[in-house]
Amino acid sequence: MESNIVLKAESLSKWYGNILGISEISLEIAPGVQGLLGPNGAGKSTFLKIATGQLKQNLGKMTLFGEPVYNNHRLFSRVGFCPEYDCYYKDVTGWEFILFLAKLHDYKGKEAADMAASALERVGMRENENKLISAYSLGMRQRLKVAASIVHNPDLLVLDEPLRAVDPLWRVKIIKLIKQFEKEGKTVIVSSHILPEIEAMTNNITLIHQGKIFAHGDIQEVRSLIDKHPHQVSIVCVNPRLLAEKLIRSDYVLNVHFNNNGNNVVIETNNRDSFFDSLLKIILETGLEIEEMTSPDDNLQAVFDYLIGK
Amino acid sequence: MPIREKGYYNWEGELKTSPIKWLPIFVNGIKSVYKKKYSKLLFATCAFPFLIFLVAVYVATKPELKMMTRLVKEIQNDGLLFNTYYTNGFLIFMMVIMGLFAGAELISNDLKFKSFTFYLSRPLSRLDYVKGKFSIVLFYLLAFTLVPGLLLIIAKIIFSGEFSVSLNILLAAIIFPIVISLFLGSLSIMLSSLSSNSRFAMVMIFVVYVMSNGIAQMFHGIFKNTSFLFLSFDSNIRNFGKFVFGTQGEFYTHGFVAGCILVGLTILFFAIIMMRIKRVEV
Repeated sequence: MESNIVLKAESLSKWYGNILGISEISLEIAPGVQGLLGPNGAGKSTFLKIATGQLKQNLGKMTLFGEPVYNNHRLFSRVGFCPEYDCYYKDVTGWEFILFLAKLHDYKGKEAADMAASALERVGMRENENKLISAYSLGMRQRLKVAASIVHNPDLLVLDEPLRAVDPLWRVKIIKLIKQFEKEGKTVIVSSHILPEIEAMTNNITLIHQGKIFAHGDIQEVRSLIDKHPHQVSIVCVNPRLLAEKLIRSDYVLNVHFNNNGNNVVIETNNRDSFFDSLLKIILETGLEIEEMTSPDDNLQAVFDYLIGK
Repeated sequence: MPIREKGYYNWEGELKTSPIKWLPIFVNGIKSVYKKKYSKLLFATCAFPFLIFLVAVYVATKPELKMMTRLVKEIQNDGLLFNTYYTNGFLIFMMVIMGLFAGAELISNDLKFKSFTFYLSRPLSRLDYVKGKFSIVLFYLLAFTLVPGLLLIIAKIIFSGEFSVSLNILLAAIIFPIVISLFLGSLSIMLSSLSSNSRFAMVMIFVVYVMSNGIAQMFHGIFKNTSFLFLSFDSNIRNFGKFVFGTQGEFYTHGFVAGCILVGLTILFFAIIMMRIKRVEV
């Protein structure tokens, strides 16, 4: 739905001298959590900086909530940005920093203090708020950045590598926080090069590599579109050879191989639906007991590896 | 699928926002400068000329005291009083130091700590950012020029018992410190925007100011032409002061031209600042 689109990029390109940042990126993002995935140097940060008005694109258009982004500072009252790198004064306390940012959004007095307190509470930084930022650990500074991006309760949250250097406990909490934002109806764009992080947050992904979009959509749909790369299904059963014999004749089974211990068969198929239909029939026919069934490549890592040609 | 339609998306009103978006930058900056090491010592030193002149204004109304006769002689009329106060070498030097102290780190620190991201991702234009930063150094410069000047006027009225200050002098006592503060403030902010190293900015503020005087004096000494004094920031300030307060003196050049040079340089410095800020990419 056109009116539901929060971010729209049309043929966006940005280069730094002779180095291409992003090239011909066209993308629409609706409310919810959108994962932006790519290796280091793929163009994720460039895209996010253009989306938040930090950089001006060389070609193309970028709109947020239907309005052009660059130099449209009025728009940023609805946008929260958590940058990838450290960027604050080291000689102020966490509280002073977040309060200052709340005031930059026109909040005053007690309201600004309440907004700052709420943001710090959400990232677990209230007990350290009166310490100088220079005394914070890397993880604490990262959490402070997240607090800075949410202090003004934005409608669109753009988080560039938000979990970098954060301890495992707070990784889980921040992921929960992001999902909470989604439930509140906000739009969250999260970038990362760590695949399990994105998988934990959302099924909506955009894969970027070498400045271009390789894939965009639901992770399952993206996976299913990769026809030339067959799906793998690993089955542990009592008689894997019998199962293999029954399946090998099918047109949609491309390859069958066994693991070293012999009770595990891995089948490669280019048609998952037909495969599972056949498997069910074979189980009913033969009475074969299946102990375990998994899809080793049904995850983001495999999707990414396939797309970038590893 | 949760329902995401929100009522306020259909609201067609306009959010009321503060017209002075840079005010938090100003307030925050004032507090930061105040908290710096040696700030109180600098403020006390900058206030020193005011205290001396305050005593002189009092003594001038009491000739029987026969104190500070040389200074009292120099402030016989209002024009001389304010010209001597505003263009005395010590005050000008302290204003350069104040510009360095309050202004050198303002933008260079943001370049160093990459803090532009936090400003530029807020509902704040780059011009608002510059206004906020500039207002900090302007505040401290005016606090030790304009404010003491106005206090001296009030003191003169109180001590002499009559409202003897003319409108021209009153206007001059307001305009002169504003022009000089704009000039020195824009110089320090401009040099601060040129480098992420605040020490470089500090050194450059001092060197540029001192060297301009040195170069002007050198050419003046060689060619014996007072026009070379237009190269000196210090000389332009003094001559502009003489023009504004209607006094003359040694090495007087066209005060109006000196004033135009100061205003022109201020505009140039602002143009450089805006160019630098607009080019900042994070």
